[in-house]
Amino acid sequence: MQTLTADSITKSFGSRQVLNGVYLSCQTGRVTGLLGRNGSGKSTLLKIVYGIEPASFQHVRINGRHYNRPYRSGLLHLLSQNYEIPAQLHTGSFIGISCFKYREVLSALPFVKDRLNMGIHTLSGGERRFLFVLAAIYSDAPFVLLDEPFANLSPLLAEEAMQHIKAMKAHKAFVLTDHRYAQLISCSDDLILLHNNSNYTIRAPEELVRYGYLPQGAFIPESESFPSPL
Amino acid sequence: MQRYFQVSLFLYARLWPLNAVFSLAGLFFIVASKNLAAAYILLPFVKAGGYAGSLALHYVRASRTHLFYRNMGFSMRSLFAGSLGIDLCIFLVLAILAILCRR
Repeated sequence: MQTLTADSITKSFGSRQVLNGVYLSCQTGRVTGLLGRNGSGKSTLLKIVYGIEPASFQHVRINGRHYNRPYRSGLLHLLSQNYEIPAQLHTGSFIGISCFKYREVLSALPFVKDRLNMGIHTLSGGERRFLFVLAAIYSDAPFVLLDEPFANLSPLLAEEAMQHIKAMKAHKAFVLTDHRYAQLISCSDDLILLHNNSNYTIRAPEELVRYGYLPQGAFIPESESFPSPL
Repeated sequence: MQRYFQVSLFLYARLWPLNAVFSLAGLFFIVASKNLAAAYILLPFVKAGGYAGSLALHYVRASRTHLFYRNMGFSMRSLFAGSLGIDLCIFLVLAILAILCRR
């Protein structure tokens, strides 16, 4: 089992503090869902953990080893909201250069197989996003950070992406943020809410309402992260 | 190492067009210059200028793609160094050929 731990993460933008002593931990075999309102620092947290956003304080350990720039370990893959790849690349070449371990599995997926010889610039925004999500899920890195993976995806593609995450979680650790909270909650094993610059572990659906993330009466699906009532 | 070379080569292919113009300009100096010593002195500046220009163009036009490269576990600095190495190797071979042809 591999673990990633980010501790005491503190970040301010000018006089505005976004994160204060935030703790995030994930391990292979589990999906960690990161919830929070707009501007609560979810994307910033993922970028700090990845190592491309400077923070006032950060301490990131992967399998017990401290990294200043964790992405250099080759153990992390981040899919940001505005992820872009070099222009004029074909789907086949993109998969060829970005995936090694699961290249054949990824190339055999019907969505990818049908578009293997197509230029990525000819795909629609949603198709491109779905391809990037698949490439992240089937990347070589054991820790995958997905920032709004379901954004721009039709319900069917979002559901398919969720199934791929569930299929690969035995080999990888996923950290997901998204505003499609129902989908995020249903595929997460652990839920963390960023609120008041800090992290709160969510163990019951009512906590999401109590902390002001969801309105009263909002639909909350079943989740592994909510222990069954005795 | 093989992966590093592969990704550096991939990045080099994106930096190539502007770089090639300056490399050819450098080779032209070697072939056509009356004073070979002056061409040798000018060459590093032409090459450095070409590479710096192509890096600047890459930063302006393609900085959003840097995450794609970092996801392979390499920093941009190390990949730029790798692509510079590849560029210099190719250029040295061409420069030696140009010098031999001149003689």
